[in-house]
Amino acid sequence: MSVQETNIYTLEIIYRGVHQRHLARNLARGIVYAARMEGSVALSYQRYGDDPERDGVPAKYFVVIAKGASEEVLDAEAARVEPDYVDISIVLDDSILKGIESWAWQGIQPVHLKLRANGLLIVVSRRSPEELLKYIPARDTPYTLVVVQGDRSIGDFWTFPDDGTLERVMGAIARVAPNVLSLEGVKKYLSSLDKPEVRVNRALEAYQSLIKMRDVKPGEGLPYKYEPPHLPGWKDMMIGGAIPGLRPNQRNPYFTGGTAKHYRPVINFDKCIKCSLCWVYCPDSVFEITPDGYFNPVLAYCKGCGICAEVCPVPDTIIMVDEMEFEDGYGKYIDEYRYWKENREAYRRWFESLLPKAQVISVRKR
Amino acid sequence: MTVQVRLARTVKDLLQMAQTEYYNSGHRTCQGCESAMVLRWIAKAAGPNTIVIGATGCMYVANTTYYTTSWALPWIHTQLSSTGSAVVGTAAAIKALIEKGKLPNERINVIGICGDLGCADAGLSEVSNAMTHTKYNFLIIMYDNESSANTDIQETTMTPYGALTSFSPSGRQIRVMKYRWKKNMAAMIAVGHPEVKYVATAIATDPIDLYNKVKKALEIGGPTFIHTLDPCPKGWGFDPKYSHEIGKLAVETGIWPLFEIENGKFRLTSTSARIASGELKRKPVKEYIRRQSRFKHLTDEDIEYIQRKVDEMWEKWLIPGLIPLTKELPYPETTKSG
Amino acid sequence: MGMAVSALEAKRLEAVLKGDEEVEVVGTGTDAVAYALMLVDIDVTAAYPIRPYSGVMERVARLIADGYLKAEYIVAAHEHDQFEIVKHASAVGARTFVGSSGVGWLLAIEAIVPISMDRYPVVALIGNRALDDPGAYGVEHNDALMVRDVGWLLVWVDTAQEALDTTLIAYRVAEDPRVMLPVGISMDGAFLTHSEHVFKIPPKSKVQKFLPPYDLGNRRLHPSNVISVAPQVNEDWVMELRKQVDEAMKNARKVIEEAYRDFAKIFGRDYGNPFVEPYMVEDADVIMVGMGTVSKPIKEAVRRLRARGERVGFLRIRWFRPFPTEDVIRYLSGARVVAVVDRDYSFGSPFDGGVLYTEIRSALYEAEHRPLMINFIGGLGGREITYNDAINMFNIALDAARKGRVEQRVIWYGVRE
Ligand SMILES: Cc1ncc(C[n+]2csc(CCOP(=O)(O)OP(=O)(O)O)c2C)c(N)n1
Ligand code: SF4
Ligand code: SF4
Ligand code: SF4
Repeated sequence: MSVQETNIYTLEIIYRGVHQRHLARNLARGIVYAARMEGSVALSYQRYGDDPERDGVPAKYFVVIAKGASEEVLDAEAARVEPDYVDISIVLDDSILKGIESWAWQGIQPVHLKLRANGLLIVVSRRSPEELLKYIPARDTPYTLVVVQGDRSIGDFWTFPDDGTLERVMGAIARVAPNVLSLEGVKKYLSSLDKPEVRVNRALEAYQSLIKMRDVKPGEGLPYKYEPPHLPGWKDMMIGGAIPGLRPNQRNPYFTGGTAKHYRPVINFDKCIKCSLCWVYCPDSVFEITPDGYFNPVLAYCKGCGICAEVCPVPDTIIMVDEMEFEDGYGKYIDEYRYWKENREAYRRWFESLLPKAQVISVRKR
Repeated sequence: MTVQVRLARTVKDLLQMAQTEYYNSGHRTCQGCESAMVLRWIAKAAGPNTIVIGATGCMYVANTTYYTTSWALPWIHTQLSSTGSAVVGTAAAIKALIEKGKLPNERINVIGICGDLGCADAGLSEVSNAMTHTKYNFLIIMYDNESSANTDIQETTMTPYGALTSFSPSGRQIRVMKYRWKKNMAAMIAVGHPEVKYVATAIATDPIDLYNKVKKALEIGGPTFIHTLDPCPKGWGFDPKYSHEIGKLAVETGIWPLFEIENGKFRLTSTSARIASGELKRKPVKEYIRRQSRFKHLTDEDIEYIQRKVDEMWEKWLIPGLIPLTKELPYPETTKSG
Repeated sequence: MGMAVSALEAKRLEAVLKGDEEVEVVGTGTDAVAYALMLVDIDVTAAYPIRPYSGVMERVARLIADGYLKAEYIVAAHEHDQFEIVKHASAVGARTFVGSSGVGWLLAIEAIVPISMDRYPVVALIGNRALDDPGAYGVEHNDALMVRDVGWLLVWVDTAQEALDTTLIAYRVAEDPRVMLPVGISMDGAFLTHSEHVFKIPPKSKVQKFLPPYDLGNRRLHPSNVISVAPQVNEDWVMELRKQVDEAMKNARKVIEEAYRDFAKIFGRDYGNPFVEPYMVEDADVIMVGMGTVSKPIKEAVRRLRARGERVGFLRIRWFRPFPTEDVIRYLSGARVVAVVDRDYSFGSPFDGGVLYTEIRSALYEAEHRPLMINFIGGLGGREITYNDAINMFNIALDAARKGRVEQRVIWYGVRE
């Protein structure tokens, strides 16, 4: 077991705003209930800065569990914006492994920024730990990467897709961190809900056969070093809440919004008729107009909404492809247009390899 | 008299006339936020000689994360209910300073941007007061995502009949908590403030129409008002990629009529004009409603009710979208005395 | 109503606008402020009716209508509208004036706070008035005191002349780059807003020497200066912004001193200590403290008691924010008993006394010698405090001084049992 020897355990649930809000909250509450059902004390809170959640923007919940302790043990963990460290990070959407940008100036933070040495990074994904490592920055201390086999669970503000993710994640915790949450506790909690058998079975299935683990050594992973921001002091800030504005056509240098995406647009410039609709309809002004009249997405700022793909009049010219098909990220993205210009043939092959993996475009258009 | 201003007719015109971004990438709005689209096109239409005022709401909170901004125009926050006040104060100051020789004599566009709660509910009296200050030039844009979205989607008077909000859930006892019908905001401004020279409805799904309306409003001067309907993936409950499509459906089903009132002349525009002329047939509202999870609890009868109300607007109103008095009403109605 | 300018006044107003000599006129306290606004040449103002401040807006309207002042005069939808209008006018570089009273001031509170937090040097007149319910016109200071913690400078005046002069000083202090905070000038409802006084209007030429043009510098909102003002902020930044206001408020003490010094030089009227007005305090055993027009009856009482050989004095607090801590200690710590008259209440405060009492008590905690303290809550809702009342209060305090102990800390003076 790799969780540190301490009586208090902190868990973090990282999820996509709105899409996984019900899942994250239900999971946080579920863990608290389960912990209490096995005699521990526990509390949970959302990172307030993430509220109000925005579609796609990564957000966090925290759960603190104290084993066999009394309530006041949790006092030091209450009334926090976020904990200093977590023992377990649970990532509900594997594309979040490509970084989290929550607020201006904080930059793109590695997903395991808060994870303790020897902590557990639990990811819901269809990919193997080996594959996922390609997206995770290297760090100085070891940790264990745990994959719970499963698809990305996507709901909306009004809908919780009761698709088993919650139960599987709880089963996984019980498996890899029984000292934090025992299988008994999980079972007890799930049995208290509707459809208890189905739920317990889902957790058991994960517990028994859906987990893959890999110890990650220091230095393994992407060569990305997070620099915490240096925020100016009151003497250096403009007074009255004023700040310098942008120049025309300048993009916000301190906040990109690009970690909101789980899909990204890939453009087949060979088929593009330069109609400009993608440029017109992108709410985030992502497209740059090239000298020869194409529209090149500046992916760092793309939130992956998919509107451009929907409005493009030429079939299969803008396709939306899962972020996990690309190993770039952390603020640095492929320049699709430049790639195409440099080697059209290679680009064409690349595009064709992505085409089968593209998200389905709305039926209405086709 | 139509105002003389260069308008866009095609998408190519937009590309040519409005390439520069003044509200740019790097805001914290949701994926596919149509309100952000509205801001982007307002900023383009207005151009650099503009001061923008943003009321509290998503288009403040999500847009401007402190010590950064997405605005390449001078921008200032105003309180939830004070867009009307802020545009008046700004425009009055510009006028005073120009007249006293403290500012060069050039036209500065003043644009106030407020959400439906900030404008139609909290700030209605300020907006109404502003609309009577005819010696000042400004444009108020009410971006209507049909909820108090920034606070996690609560009911406003602009929330449509039946929609789920955090204050109007559907429960075992009560299926439809939001029973109130949406207010007719642009019409209220137009009819209640006859000196206003330009009032319009718009939608970001139709950026040519939106762009032209902003241009006209700014050119024509005095207090002007535009009400946009903005599909909100978070609050309305749909995949962000459908923002554009949902917006189109709002117009095509006739739920959202596009019009302008220029110097007292009412005109349906774009798709709505084509519906009125019979060139396009209105789509059933069901196509719009069934695409959004905020309506997931509505029964077929509920939807029929909404359909009847929309039909009534198009078929019975004195002016569709504007005057809800029915055509059958004797005009002027008189009461026999004695 | 806005009474017309008489032929006599017209001649005198023209004289101060064109010449170099001051003139004398008769008018109310609110008229005096209006003439000051003419002299500082405000650009934008917003009006809304509520007694007793609204006389100033009526006078300003008249001055504009008759061409003595050129400014945009906006009749607002309500007080919140009013204060937002001037905030945004100030943001683009206009010199502004606004005001209210009682419930009107409170309705505007949500707009009042951003004015100081965004650092706009708006000057406001608060015609002090009791808060509803029930509706009442008379003076109480709780309206103005509602904003004592949020970055507004607050000053109380007690004559029409002081009202006029303080308005000129207020713009100078507010617009100083080291301060850039709004100023609220408090004036007792009825006793000053509605009573007629003789006062002098200085010439505009001198005012221009005293008050530089309003300059927001790199914060002026204009297409040639692209800035964003007050974007949504998180916990990473809020404390730093508040700290800036804290520093500005502390700077204001020095800036106020400078302004009064220059004022005396240019206009020849010297207020002595800018922050407080000490009256026969030097050897006093008992010093009464108050704000606003309560000074009048108390001074009379002091004179009468002094004539009888009692060693009593009075300290009028002029600037409440920034609070004159040092002066309070200097003038009060030598007394045996300090009696604070509060035309306000602060229910449930540390000793269930008034706001001024609580603040003075807090300041005196740092004094080497702490006097005994008595608090008189009095004159609420516009009830009179006469010099006989003041003498009664002094007698209670003198008794405590003799006995060396205070029997009742807080006395609701004159309240019916
Ligand atoms: C006086 C006041 N009341 C309440 C709030 C909380 N609040 C912040 S944003 C907001 C929503 C505004 O709704 P709307 O104007 O429709 O804009 P949206 O958020 O939908 O874009 C509210 C109620 C506030 N900021 N100020
Ligand atoms: S997916 Fe397309 S429309 Fe959406 S943000 Fe990215 S580039 Fe813009
Ligand atoms: S919408 Fe499609 S066809 Fe049109 S410019 Fe964009 S990529 Fe090319
Ligand atoms: S909640 Fe709606 S209006 Fe607000 S940012 Fe999200 S999509 Fe835009």
